[in-house]
Amino acid sequence: MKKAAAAGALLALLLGLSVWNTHYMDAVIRDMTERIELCRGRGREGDFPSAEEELSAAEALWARMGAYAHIFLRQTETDTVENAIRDVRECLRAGDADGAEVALQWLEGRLAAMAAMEHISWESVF
Amino acid sequence: MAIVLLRTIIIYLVLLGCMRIMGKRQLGELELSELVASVLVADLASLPLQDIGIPLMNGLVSILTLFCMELILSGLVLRFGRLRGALFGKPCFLMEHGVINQRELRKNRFTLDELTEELRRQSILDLNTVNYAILETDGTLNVILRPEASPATASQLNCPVTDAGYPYTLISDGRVISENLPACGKDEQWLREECVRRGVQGPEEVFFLSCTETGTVYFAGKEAAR
Repeated sequence: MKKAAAAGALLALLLGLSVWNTHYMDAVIRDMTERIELCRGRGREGDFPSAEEELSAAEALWARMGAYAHIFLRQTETDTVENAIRDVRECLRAGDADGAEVALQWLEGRLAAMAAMEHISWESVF
Repeated sequence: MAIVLLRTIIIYLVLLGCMRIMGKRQLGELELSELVASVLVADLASLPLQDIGIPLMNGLVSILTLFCMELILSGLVLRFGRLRGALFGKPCFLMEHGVINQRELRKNRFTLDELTEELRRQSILDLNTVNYAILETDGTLNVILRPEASPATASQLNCPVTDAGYPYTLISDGRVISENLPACGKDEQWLREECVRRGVQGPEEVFFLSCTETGTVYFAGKEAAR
C-alpha cells in the first residue's frame, strides 16, 4: 500500500504541475496578447517604431520562458510563434500596416490555440 | 542524432526504474491492467524517440502517469478484493471432476481445440487423467491431474529422502557473496580452504560455487585458471 500511496502522491503532484502549467501559459500568453494589442494600435496609427517596441516587449516575454517553452512545447509550436513574430517585425520595418495586421492576427491565433490546448475541454481532450 | 541517443538513454532508464518498482509481476504473466500498461508504455516511450520535435517531457509525463495508475490500481485491488473480481474477472473451471464444462467454454470463447492444445502443451494427451482445468485471470490454463494419474511422491512410495537444503551462491564469477556464508553455516576461512581443496588458489579463480545448508557443494572453476 505504501507504493500505491506514493504513486497517488506522485500523480497528485503531476496533476498539480499540470494546473500550474496551464496558469503559467495563460499568464504569459495574456501578457503577450496585451503587448500585441498595443503593437496593433501603434501600427494602425502609423507609428511603426513604437509598434516594433511593443512587439519586442512581447518577444521578450516569450524569450523569458526560455527553456520552459522548449521543454514543454512542441518544436513546431515554438517555431510558429517565433516565425510569426519575425514576420510582424519585417512588415513593421517595411511600413506595411496591412501586412503587419495580418501577421499579428496569425500570431494571436497561434498563441490562443496554444493556450486553448492546455485547457481541459471536450475539444482538447478528444 | 545525439539528441535521439540521449533521449533513448533517458527513456530507457526511466522505464527500467518504473518496471523495477512495479515489481516482478510485470515480468511474468500479465493481468489485464498490466498488459494495457505495458503496451501503452512501449508506444508512448517510442514517440519522443522517433520525433525530436515532440518534447521529451510529453513522453515522460505519460509514462509516469501510467506507472502511477498501475501502482494505485494494484494497491486498490490488494485492499478491496471485490475490485479484483470486477477488473480482472475470476478463475473458472473449464473441466471439473474430469467433466468438460461446456457452458464455461462458450462463456470464455475457449474452443475445444484450444483446450486440447493447452493440455498437450502440458504433456497431457488423455483427458481422463484430468481432474480440474482452471482458466486463470491472466489467461493461463492450470491443470490438476487425478490422484491416480499424478506422479507418485516419495512419501507415497515410502522412500526415505533427505532435504539437502537450499543452495546458496557463495562465489559468482570470482566474486565472493559474503552475505550468503552465514546462511549455510560457513565462513571465509572455509571458503578459502575449499578453493584450495578444489585445486585453485582462491575465490578469484572460481566461476561458480554454491553450498547448501547440509554442506553439498557445487564447484566450477574459471576456464583460464584450469
